[in-house]
Amino acid sequence: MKKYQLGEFEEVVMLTVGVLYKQAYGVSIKKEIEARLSSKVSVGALQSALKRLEDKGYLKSRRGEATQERAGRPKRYFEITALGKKAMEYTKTTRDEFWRDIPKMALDIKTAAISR
Amino acid sequence: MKETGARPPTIFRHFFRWFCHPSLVDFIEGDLIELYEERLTESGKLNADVNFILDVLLLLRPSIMKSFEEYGNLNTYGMYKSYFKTGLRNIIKEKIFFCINIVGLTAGLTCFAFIALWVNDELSFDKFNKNYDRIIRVIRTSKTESGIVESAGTGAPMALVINDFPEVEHVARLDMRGDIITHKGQQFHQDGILLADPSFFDIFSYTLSKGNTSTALSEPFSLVLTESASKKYFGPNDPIGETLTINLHDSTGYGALYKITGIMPDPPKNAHFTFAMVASFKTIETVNPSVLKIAGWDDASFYTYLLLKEGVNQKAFAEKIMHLHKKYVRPSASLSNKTYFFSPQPLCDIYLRSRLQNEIAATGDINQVYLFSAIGIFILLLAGINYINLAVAGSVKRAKEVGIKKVVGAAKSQLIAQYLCESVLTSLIALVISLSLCALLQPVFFDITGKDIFPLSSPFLLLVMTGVSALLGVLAGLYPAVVLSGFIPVRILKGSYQQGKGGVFLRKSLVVAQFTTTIVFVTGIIVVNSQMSYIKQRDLGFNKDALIFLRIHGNTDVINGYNAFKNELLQNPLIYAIARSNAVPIGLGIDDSETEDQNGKPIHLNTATLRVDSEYLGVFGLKLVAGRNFPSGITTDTIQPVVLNEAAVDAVGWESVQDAIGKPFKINGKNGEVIGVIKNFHFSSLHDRIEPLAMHPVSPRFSRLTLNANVSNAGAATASIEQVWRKHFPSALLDYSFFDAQLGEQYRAEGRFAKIIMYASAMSLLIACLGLYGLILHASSQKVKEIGIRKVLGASVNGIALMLSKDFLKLVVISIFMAVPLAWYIMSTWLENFAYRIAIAGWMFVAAGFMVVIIALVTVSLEAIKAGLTNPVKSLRSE
Repeated sequence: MKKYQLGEFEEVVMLTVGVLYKQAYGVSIKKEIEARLSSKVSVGALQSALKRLEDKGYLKSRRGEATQERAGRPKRYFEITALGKKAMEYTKTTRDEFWRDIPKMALDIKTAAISR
Repeated sequence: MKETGARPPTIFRHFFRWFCHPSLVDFIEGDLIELYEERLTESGKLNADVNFILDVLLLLRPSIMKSFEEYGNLNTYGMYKSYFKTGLRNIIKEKIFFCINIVGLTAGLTCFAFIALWVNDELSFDKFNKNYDRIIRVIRTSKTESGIVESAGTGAPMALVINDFPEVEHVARLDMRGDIITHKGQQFHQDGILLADPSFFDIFSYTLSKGNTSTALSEPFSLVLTESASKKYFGPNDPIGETLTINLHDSTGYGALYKITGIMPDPPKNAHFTFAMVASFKTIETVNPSVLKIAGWDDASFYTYLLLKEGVNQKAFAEKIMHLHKKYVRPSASLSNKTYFFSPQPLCDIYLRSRLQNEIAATGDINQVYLFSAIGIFILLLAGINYINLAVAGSVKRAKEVGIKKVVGAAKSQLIAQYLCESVLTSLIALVISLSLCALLQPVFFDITGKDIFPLSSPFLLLVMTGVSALLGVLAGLYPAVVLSGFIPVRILKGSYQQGKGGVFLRKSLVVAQFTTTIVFVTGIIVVNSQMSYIKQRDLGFNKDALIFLRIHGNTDVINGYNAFKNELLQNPLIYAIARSNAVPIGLGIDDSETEDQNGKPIHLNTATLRVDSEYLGVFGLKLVAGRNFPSGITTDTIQPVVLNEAAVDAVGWESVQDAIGKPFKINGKNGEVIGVIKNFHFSSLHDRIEPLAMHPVSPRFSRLTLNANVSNAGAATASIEQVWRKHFPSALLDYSFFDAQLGEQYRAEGRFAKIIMYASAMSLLIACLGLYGLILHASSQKVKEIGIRKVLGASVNGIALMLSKDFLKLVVISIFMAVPLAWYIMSTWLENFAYRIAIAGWMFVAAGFMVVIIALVTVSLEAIKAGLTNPVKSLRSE
């Protein structure tokens, strides 16, 4: 567990970067997360997370084109690195193991209530 | 750009660009703008703005903010060395501008140094006394029907009464005199003979180097000499126990013997009175015991100083002493209508703020201190403004340097530090030069102010000057430094960088400020000089030019032998007439007189008094408008004849000058009758209105002789006077002077003021023109190509010169318009010092403005014409 520290929001960001494949930059990531999770994401929280992930080596960035809408500022596109992929897989695997080990009854609320 | 043209809130945008880490700033800002545009179209401007602001604020996170430590101390010792080198190289490259700056800054700093020296000295008066905050002087206010008179002098008995007050630790009475000293057969006139009680040494911080402070002044006719006085009369020998013959308080007519009981170090010059020797006050009491009687309360010849105990409330004490006169003097017939009030005057208020009659010595003026401080600061400001203007105008030349430095990675703060270093360096070089100038010019300072102090001798002053020049360097260098470091590298390195529009207004207004100050100063000179020549030429109502004044210092031989002397002297065709009096008509004291008004009611009057003989009116050329002159010979009638001036008649309120004749007129308690009225004449300086004057017969012991002589041959006249004098009075001191000397005394303050204004305006004109010259230099070097093309197309030299100078000359004209009302106001206020003055005329402003314009024109055309004459080939050629 210690090897791949990935917080919940960070995991969401990484998943979104994966989904957006080659189109993942600040605004698009923000919109994708807000659409899927139906909750607001602040630019600050997002940028902070992206920077942290890049520092950890899970994401890499490249410089994109500038557009009129951005007043001539370039975009910054993110991609998942090999290390990042390993981190995500690790997280997913450990999550799946948890799910597998939950007995049916714990998740079947109606049955659990009667069996008492 | 965007079609909508709406922009996110700029302040927050700049704030974000400021705190965000440089490697992230552009990307994140782009995101913010993209979102802003979307929100704008979806929900409107307000929503977009609010969200933008929220986003920016929520971006204040450590991971996004730039690291401030990285940009902390980039300037190491090595960097400062490099600033120093670049600074020096820049100076060498632009020698002319450096010289202009140095001259301006040096002039400003030197003026400031001298003025600071003078102000510091003036403010330090009397503070060498250890207990100066507890020392007060008692002053007297007298109220009569004719007005209120405040006098610094008080009577002798009061001190004895005040000594009993619990708040008082010590009391001392002082009297300041000058008299004749006869020593080794020669007569000297010695000023600065102080008479004091023994407690003098307890109140003030004077000490004795030889002798005992408690006994030195306890006996009458004792004398303490200062070390210079001791050297003057006794050389290197010890004078203790010896005697000096002084005519002061002498009843024999040949001088009284004063025994020397002590020696003291020379008193400091920055005190409101100085002296050469101190005699005992007991002398006065012994020779003239009536000063201690009741009548002595009305006297105003002495000065009473107190040392209060610690913690005494001065206000409460003031209440206590106010009515002392009423309490101790029983009302008698002649004193009933006078009320005297006493009040305390703190020691340190005397020199600069005292405006009383009968002052112990000439005082300074706090207004002068304010005025000169203002002038000093102004001139410094002008020099600083010059530096700013020239640096900003010359910034274009350094643009390439700035561009490259920024590209290579200089932070804005580093560039500012560099340019501040340069300006402080220039300023400190100017400081060194100005301090050497101060040492060189000290004689000029002494000549103007009479103060024997040296600028370099006070470490405090040196520290202040260093601080001031460093501050000047920083303040003057700040604006150019900010301007220079704000250049955008891309614009500079791409091509030729043109002057931004931003600083032009500031530079123009600075030039206007400089020239306005200069014009005000120049107008000041013109007004002051006009007033001074008016004073010299104005008819004072008597024939001042034909008079020679002789001072008799109580010499009995002269008094007894006067008639013989007079007869022989008048045989000389150069001498027309001679008169006796008890004073010169300048600086007369105010006395109390009593007479009857138009309706026969008694009325008190404050009049100046002058004791004269029958020749006096003739010698001075004074005109009678009613009545007659004094009868000849010395009268000893119980009712003395009195001659008044027209002002006295007006003050009493008699309807015509004829009505005055025959009215009783009592002067200082002595009965008299008005026998004549003369036309007003100026017996004091033109500062004051002509006050009432009462003349009455000269005392048998007269002290002045005035001669009406043929002054066109002054040398011959004085030679004959001396010859006759020596014949009749071989051992008496011949002390003569002409009216000019008296005039010089009266207007010494104005003379000094005029000199200082002259130097100040010369300085400010110099600085302003230097600045103008520098600006033109810059303009012409910038427009080199433009001038070349114009010349090729056929412009004349005049045309080019005009083009360059037009703008700046417009500024000078604007300055004239601004300066006129300011100068008018200031000079009117100064002229109010004089009761008789010139009116400020339009020609003065025209002359001042004209002069300044001409000088500015000359300055400008020097460079402009040179620019116009350059060969266009040289300027248009590109290598």
